[in-house]
Amino acid sequence: MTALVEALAVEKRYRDRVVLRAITLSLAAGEVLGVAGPNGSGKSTLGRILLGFSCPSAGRVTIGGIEPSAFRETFGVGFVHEDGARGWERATLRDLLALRLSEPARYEDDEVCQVLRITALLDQPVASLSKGQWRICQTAYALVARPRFVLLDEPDAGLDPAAQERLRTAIAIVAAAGAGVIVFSHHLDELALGVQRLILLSRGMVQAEFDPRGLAAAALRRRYLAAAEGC
Amino acid sequence: MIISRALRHLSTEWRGPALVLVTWREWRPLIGAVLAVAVVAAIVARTQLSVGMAVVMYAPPVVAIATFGGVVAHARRPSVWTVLFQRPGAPPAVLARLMVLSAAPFAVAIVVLFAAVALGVYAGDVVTPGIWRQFASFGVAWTLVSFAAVAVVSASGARGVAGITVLWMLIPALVRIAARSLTIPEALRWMLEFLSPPFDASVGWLAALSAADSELTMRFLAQLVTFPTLCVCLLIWRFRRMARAELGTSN
Repeated sequence: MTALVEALAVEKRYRDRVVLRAITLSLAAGEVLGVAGPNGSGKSTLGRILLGFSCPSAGRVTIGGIEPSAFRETFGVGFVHEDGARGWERATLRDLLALRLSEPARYEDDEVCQVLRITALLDQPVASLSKGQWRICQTAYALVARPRFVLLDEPDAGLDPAAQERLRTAIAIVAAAGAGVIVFSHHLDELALGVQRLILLSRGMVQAEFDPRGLAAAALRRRYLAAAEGC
Repeated sequence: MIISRALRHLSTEWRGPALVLVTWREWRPLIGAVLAVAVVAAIVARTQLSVGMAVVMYAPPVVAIATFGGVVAHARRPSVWTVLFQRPGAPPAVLARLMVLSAAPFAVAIVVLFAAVALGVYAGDVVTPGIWRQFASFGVAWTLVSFAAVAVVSASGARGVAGITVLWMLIPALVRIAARSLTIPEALRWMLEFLSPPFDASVGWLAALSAADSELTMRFLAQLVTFPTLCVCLLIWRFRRMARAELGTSN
């Protein structure tokens, strides 16, 4: 399978501090990859590099064969970042979705919007949404244009189990349409349900990489703790 | 609903900057302040035209300082930034469009204030023949110069925008004051003339042209070309830097 995203020996240093060391990963079109790791393991830094918002100090990253920033500027990406809705309080979700799609669309008919059940929220001011609703809306914004590369940083934060299930379904829809999806999360059990491969990151290094499907929660947790300890 | 309908009439490239602009929270106080100043300017212009014209000249740059600084800071919030830059498009181009749209309130403020002063003059008993022609001769250049200066400083960061802008704009006056008691080397004076906003040139270029003072006219015109060029270069450089800024540390 041809890789959509390729990272080869990526390293990131901030002055003397090494945040990422020799990260090598690949993601195929249509694949969903999970990345888990303790706080400070370098997940967010890796995300910024993959999105082209930051350059690696060493190594190389390509998306679709080109630099991540060039890919983002040419094709657009889907991205959920763990931040609040500050700045968009006066907008509605419909206003925001209008930024993603060139043609006027009936979001009510969009499969992702239907799965995420946001159609009732389309005309509400963002200020009136709960934290969980805003997170779902961010996800809808990231997925509605069916980008070829999607990076979701903690998309399940603040979501109830039903909403998490809907989120997994939405991710599966865009992956089935050919998108490569990377999900960063702390919710190991939930993450394992929706990804085909899981990378455990700790101290800026890939400590383990495996298919989590079928693994018991206890076994998954043991692997995670071992990786977090760098064993 | 109204916003999304209006957005549909724009091309996708302009929708993001337009939405950033309309969702900026400080519009109401700004509009209120402009209208209050317009009323005062109209009243004052009835008897003291020079004060009214000063309002027309100095108030719009203040509006621009507030608008540009505020809107750029608004766009650089991570929550806003991440929404803007998921869609295709080079970030410097998005920021440039945002700056162009931010110029609209600046233009509206000029029109409102100028109309208020004109109304005051019309209603009052002070009529100075040729005042409008005189204003037209330097008003446009003055406006463009102050617009460029404010845009550059606003793009440089949110903190201290007003202070730095005012200081930069005051350089020509400070040089003139300093020249009374100090000997400023010719090279330094020339450098300052070309780096600081050319207000003297914007006010005096037409007079210099009419007086057939070729040296002064050439210098003024050179300043009026150099300064916007410098501003455009600085803006492009700054937008590229902002675009490269890492997401988590961009605000």
